[in-house]
Amino acid sequence: MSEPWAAALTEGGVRLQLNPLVRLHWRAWDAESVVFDEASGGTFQVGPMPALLLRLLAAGPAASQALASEIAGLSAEREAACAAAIEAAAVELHGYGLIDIDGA
Amino acid sequence: MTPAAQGSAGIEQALTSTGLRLRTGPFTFCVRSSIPAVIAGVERLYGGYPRVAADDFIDFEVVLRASRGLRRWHRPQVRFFYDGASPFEPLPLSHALPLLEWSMNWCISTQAHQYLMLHAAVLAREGRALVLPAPPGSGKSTLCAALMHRGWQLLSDEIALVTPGSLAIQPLCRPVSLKNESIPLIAAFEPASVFSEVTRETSKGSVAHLQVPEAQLARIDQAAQPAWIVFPRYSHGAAMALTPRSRPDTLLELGRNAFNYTLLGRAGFETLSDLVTASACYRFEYSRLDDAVAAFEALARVEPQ
Repeated sequence: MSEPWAAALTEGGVRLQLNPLVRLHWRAWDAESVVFDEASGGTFQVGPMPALLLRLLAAGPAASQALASEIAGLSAEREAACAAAIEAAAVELHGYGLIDIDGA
Repeated sequence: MTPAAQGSAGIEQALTSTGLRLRTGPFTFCVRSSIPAVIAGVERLYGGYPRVAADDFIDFEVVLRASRGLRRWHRPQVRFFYDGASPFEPLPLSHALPLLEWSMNWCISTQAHQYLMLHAAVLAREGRALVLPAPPGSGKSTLCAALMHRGWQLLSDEIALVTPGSLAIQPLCRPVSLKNESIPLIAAFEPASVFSEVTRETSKGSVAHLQVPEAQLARIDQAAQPAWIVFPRYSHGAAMALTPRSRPDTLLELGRNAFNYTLLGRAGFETLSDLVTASACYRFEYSRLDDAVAAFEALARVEPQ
């Protein structure tokens, strides 16, 4: 990752939110989901973590650290793993134009 | 009444005057042309299709006309007209019959947006549809022709018409377009096959259209419900393999190969998602037509999920 906001994202101090322009619709089969953005017409296949992140952000903006804690269920060990997974998912979703990352 | 019921003279008279009014599945066409190859091809391919009464609505008016002036003598050409406009560059006159087929496909694929239209062949067994999406060269039409001759109902060789909401796949029941080696292959596979004359040196190579048998035309109004989506791929010498494909992956691939998925917006997404949910999804690699037909027979014997 080479973007200037990447370090902050890794450290968990970045605020994430859905791109306010998107209008998302979902289908999920087992662990895989497909998300359709009605605003852009884009259709994306997403894995479990990006899907979960999108669903959490649908409730409102959140700090990446808080999201990691929520997903990990307050286990510090799992929280670190979640933070890394959230980072990868956030980068993927940002690339699709579905979420905004502070500073990005 | 079918065009054939009026005899060859009736078809030629209609084509060269007010137009031959016929129906393929849910669409009505009025075809006009005085080009001999078109007249002969329509008589052979469309003789058995339902005729449309003079006062019935026509969806698409299609005219094929030989170029005039010097082009009558030097490298003669044919031009397609739709509602008075000519959307394509002219082609050599010898390509007139394939141009008619391509033009009819164009009319449907650019305007029938009441359906989600996928680039796929569709066949059915006992009302259960087998969707065969694939890019050109994958053996889709060859497989489609073979299955049609072995008891599967032909719905379409080229365009799958999926009804939003009900998911009913509507039959088009048009002639099957075969190219190059597929023409003698199907002629040998089913000796009773009836083809149009072969047109050579088209942009797709040699092209011939396979007449839809009368028994198939009797089911021209029988829609089917989705059951299987199978992406076929002919691979010389390959061992046959039918392998599951994930539904998200299937959805994205179908969307990429649809005529109007993006245009339909959310309705397209919901329809495509429903279609994929209702179907068992596979990849299929094959090299021998007989083996492929047997594999689909076996698939059809499996109870719906």
